[in-house]
Amino acid sequence: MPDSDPKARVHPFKLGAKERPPSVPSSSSSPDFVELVTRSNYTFLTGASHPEELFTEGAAHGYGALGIADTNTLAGIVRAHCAAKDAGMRCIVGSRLILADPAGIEIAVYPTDRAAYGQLCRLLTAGKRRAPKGKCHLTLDDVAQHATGLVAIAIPPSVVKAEYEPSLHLLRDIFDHDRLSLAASIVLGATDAERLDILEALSRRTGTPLVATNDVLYQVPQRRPLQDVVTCIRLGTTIQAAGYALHANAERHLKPPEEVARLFRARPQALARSLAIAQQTNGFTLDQLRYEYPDEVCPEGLTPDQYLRALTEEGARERYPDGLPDLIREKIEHELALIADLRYAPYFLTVHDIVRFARSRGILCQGRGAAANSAVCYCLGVTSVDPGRINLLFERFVSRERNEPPDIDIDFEHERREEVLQYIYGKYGRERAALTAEVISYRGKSAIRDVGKAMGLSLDCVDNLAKTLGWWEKGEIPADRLRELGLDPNDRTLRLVLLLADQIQGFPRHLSQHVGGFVITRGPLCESVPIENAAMDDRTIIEWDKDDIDAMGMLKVDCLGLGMLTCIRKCFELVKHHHGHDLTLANVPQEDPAVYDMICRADTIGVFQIESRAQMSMLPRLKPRTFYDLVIEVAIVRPGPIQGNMVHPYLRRRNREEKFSFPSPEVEKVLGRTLGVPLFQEQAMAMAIVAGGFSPGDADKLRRAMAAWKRKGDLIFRFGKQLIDGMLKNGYTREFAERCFEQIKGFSEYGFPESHAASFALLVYVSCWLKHHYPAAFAAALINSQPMGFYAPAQIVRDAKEHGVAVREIEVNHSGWDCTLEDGAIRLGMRLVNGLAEADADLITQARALGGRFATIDDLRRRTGLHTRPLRRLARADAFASMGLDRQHALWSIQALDDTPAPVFDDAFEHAPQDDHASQALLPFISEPQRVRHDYAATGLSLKAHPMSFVRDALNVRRVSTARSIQDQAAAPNGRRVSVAGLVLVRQRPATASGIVFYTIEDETGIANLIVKPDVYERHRGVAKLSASLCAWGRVERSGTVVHVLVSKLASLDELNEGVRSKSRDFH
Amino acid sequence: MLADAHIHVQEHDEHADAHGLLALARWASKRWSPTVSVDPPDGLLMDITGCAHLFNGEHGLLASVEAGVARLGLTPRAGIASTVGTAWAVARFADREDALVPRGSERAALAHLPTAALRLEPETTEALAEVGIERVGQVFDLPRNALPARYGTDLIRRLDQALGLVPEIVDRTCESLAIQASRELPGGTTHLETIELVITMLLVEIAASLASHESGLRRLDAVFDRLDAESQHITIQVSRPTRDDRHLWSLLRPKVERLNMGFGVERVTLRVGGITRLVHRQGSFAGERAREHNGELAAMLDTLASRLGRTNVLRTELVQSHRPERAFRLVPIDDASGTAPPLFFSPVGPRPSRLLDPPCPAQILTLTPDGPVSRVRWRGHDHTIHTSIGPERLAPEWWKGREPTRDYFRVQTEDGRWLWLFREACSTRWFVHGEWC
Repeated sequence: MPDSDPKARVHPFKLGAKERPPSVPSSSSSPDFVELVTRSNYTFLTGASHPEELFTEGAAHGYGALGIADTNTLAGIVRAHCAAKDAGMRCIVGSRLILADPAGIEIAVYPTDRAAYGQLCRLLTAGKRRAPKGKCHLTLDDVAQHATGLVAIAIPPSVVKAEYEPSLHLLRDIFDHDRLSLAASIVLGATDAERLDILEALSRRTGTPLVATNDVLYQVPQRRPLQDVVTCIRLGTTIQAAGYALHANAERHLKPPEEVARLFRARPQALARSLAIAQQTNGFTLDQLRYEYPDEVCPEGLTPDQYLRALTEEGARERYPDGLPDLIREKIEHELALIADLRYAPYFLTVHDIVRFARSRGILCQGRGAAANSAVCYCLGVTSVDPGRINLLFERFVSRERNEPPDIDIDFEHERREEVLQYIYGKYGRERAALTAEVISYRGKSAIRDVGKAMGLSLDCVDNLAKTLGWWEKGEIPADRLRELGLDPNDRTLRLVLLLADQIQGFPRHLSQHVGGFVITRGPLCESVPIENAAMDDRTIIEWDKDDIDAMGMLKVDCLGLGMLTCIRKCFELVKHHHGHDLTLANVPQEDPAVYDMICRADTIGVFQIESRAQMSMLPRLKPRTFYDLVIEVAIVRPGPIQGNMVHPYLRRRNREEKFSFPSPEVEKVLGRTLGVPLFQEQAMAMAIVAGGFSPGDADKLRRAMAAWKRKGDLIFRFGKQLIDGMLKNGYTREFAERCFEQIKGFSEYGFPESHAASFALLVYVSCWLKHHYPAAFAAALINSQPMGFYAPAQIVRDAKEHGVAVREIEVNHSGWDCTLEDGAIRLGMRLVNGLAEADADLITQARALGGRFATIDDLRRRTGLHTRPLRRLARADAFASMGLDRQHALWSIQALDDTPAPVFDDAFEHAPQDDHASQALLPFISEPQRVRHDYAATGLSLKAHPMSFVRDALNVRRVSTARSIQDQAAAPNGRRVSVAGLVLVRQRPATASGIVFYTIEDETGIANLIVKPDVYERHRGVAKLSASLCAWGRVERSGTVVHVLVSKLASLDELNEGVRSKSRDFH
Repeated sequence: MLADAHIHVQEHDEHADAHGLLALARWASKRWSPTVSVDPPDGLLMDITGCAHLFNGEHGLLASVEAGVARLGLTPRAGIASTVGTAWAVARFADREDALVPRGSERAALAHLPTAALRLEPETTEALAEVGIERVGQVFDLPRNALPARYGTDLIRRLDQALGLVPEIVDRTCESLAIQASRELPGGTTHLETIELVITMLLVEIAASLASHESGLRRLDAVFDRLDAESQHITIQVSRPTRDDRHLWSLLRPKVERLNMGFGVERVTLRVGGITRLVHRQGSFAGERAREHNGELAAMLDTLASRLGRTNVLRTELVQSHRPERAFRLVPIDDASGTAPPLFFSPVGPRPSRLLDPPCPAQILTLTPDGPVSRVRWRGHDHTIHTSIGPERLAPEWWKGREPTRDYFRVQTEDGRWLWLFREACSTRWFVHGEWC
């Protein structure tokens, strides 16, 4: 998947700048000092510079190398390594170890060769695995065990006392004279001179030479304010209260070597020592890390290529029982040759192994992206997209030029993905497999919040300020807007907050786990990168994120969770059980015209992807009739094509309203299938290659640039120039070239690859097929897979009823936890009962299976041993109807029970209140609207009536139309002023719609779509944002069969519908 | 959502609310009925037995209370009934015209009110609502014996209280809190010794009373009612809670001496404020002296403060700031939340014992540019410098404003004085900032 996050800081690796060879310092300018002890902002909330900034500054000062030693971590080292290459420098890999035992020892260590680096990673892994997430617990013994090949610099505390000397002796026992130094800094403190004298004496007594360093925290002195602020954030204090926790001056920046040399002119040996250490570490760079695929996926005696071929052929026989078509055979041969050539067989075998496991457990899965839709993967069962149905070029995903692994994402049922993850941990062990990290960085709101708090702003002031976010991202907040929020635009603190919040953008804050990216290695992974505990139990993650492992060329398999797969699997099971059809993703009948008819009607509530508002309004215009149309449908309703202005040209061409031609046959080959409009990321790359003369490698960099942050997007313009020049050279017109570039730029934030769209399209088709042919089973499975998708159970149930499916109430004598099918009708499950635990529902179904139906509440209570609390929840859901008790009377009875669990099998259980029948008669009458209201409160839906039907009379008086009447062309022609009222189902504010909010509301007749423009939204803010039910006035807008109401006024109906809360789903 | 531009948001302060409510109760007890108790979080209960006639009946009383409270800027809701429960209910839930319930009509008045009017726990109200019972009248309709099993005995108790079936009384919140002592001087006196004697006797009484509550006072108000004019007030405050009558007398005495007695004082009242728990302490062998010492210091400070004014007796407090002139501040002694003894050294580096405020400009001679200081001309005198230690660089507190970075030097003059000099970065201006004396 492309980088969908526009604010992430671009990894230096992605910038793709030309590598400069490490500059060989000429003897005349060779510095007499190397800075070794530098902390970047990967020492979270301590260091105040990005690694890139440190190296850029270092290069400007003429340093040839820079030592990066972040505290107890190597998280930033790949970025530092890449930044160093870009700057033509060497990154001296290191880590600053703060020992927990004995406390007070702090050393920076640097590996001198690959083996020592492995030791360092192991050391950090050991410290992290025994500590809670984000912490590291290291002991001197750990250091001693992993010290081979490391050189160390002991960093003394700020006040050196006599107790420090024994610590130094302990370190000297581990590191000999050549490998241990004592850090000396001159940072213009009050007692620099005395301190240096003390250190020198210590150095002499322990035989530990002094090494000069500035113990750097930021690249330039101007960063001191930011360093102070991150210190405050770290300590949870404010700048006013932080006091001596802050540094007294700005001396901890990266000083020019001459400056350090001048400060240490009295101690030249300390300067020379820094050069000597840099020399010692010459033997290692991160480039020496070689990624190797795991080899146990292949049985002994076979090479991975042989085994992959065997598996592919075996799979092919299953997929094509009538014999392999020639086209597919060619494809397979071609792919296998390329895989062999690039030595990717182990990768495909690894993926196959994971998929095979999932299948053996009956976990539905589907691969997508990159190489997943190849013929080989189809045969291996990684994907169910028939390569015959879609024409994707394998090279596009596995390029010969890019020496990096192919990328396969596998979606699993969201409820069962954990089983797969634990299988991988189990199979490869925690030393060899771990999840990728996700670097959580400061952006937008979090930046303003944390900086604001650190600067001592009050919480509501910070919240107000965070509201200006939209402006702030554009660079400047208008003074009026600030005044409106009750803030003084001239206030110095406020301006500082904005300035510093801008600086802190992109600063890493902590590591989290990537959604599912697994890294698996042949040797111990913990010798390539430290592994730490994740917040979730039983998860371990490496310290590097996906860009880092990309840069290091490491294998990643994304194991993601997808709700629709859960739903489809549950639906398959219901169909099998009730109809006897054994369905799989691959054997669902293809290209069923009835299914496409349904899709063209936009009758797609609940299906995958094309159920959203935007998708549904596109369907009648796009009129998909084939599988490939679905692929386009999935990709076209995305911010990328919308912003690139590709949707309308495509629709016009498709409906033959616009003529088009191709400037060249090459271009036709690339864009032909999408009628000349680039819709997919791959097409943008292919255009760059065939028309712009890019090499595939450059095209890949273009893809990365597209995925990168728009705000720092000067890079894409660099490629733009290259592209346009190339196209002009190849004889294309400037106009065509520029339009192409504009379209490609549209992908920059949310481009969607065809390979992903194809996999999604299959799930779209399968879910539509199920919905069309088995509406009851599909609706039941959908509810049983909640939460997922756009619609709540109430709408799914309603939609099912509209398709002629009978739906029955939740009932303790009939319902299971899940929804079930009863003679073709849906029996709602107890999972819909608010607050009921699955275990309690299971007690009921088990007792029922054992002893038959329950006669009374007491009977149920005795046989299940349930507390009154779950009984109450069931009663609130009106689930005792078969006992002749409605909600009120069931609750009245249950309220009389005392709150201890009933003794199971107690025959003498007779103190059931005898007053029930006498008193029941005295309970007040409950009206129908109230009953419906209670239904909504307890289960989120009601089968009795729609709440809006009770206020219809009042609405009629006010001439409010029904949702259905608005659909009617005659009753509501284009432009007619109407009003319509309903429960809010969905509020959606797409990032691409410049503040327009889309509402879906529902009344007893159907659904109406509202468009609320920003000015209207602002005017009715309270109603627009919070109301559960509302009335809207506006004009009808028709486009084909799609009807919207362009709203000019809103009013809340919550008072009429008191208590009804359809759980509206709000998407922003 | 509500936090729009023009809404001022303030954190809820429970303590202040309680305090305000108590003040309101005291205030009310002087106007309408002496028997007022607070009913947290937002109510006052008033026993108006025998008071209504003073206001032309209960309607008049109700109107007077509403008008009086409204004048304070509060929005009152009031109700009158013959039971606490019903009055509570109609005040909160009934319309204004139904806010006065005649004796015997409680049942009718309550029937149409929501069940919350019965002062129930929220869970009970919810449980009732679940079975459709939303009004008190619907509760009356239910068989009484069906209630306790379902809603606990509390519902029955509240029903009975509201209907007057079980008694409920109004406490006198305000009076119980005050400790005071008073002595009448029939006919009045202008004789100072008499008054002094009375005060010392009252102080003994108060001290005994405080001791029995294991409490001490922080404030003492003395009120002298005069025959001819308004009463005179004297207030003293102490820095730590005390109930030592002699210490209190030593503080009161100088003020009593200056008392204007006019034609004579006819009553002396002492009221205690700021009652704080002060437990009896058994003297321990080791700690005794230290505490005594502290006590003496406190007594001395109190004496100084009562003569000079509390804001004029100051002590220093260290502030964590790298800017030397901001590294301490002066605070009134009774601001003594922190009792840590003042430190006289700075944890960040050597600091002079005397700091010049503001820093004093000086001329400097260096032998080489950027070299060590060799001579200082300061206050018209030339000093040759022997030793110079530094620089210690102190950058500004950037969040406070633009200030230059300073480089400090500790220098010793040839006659042995140690001075603290600094140079402003980006200028050549030098200053003497302090001296080690």
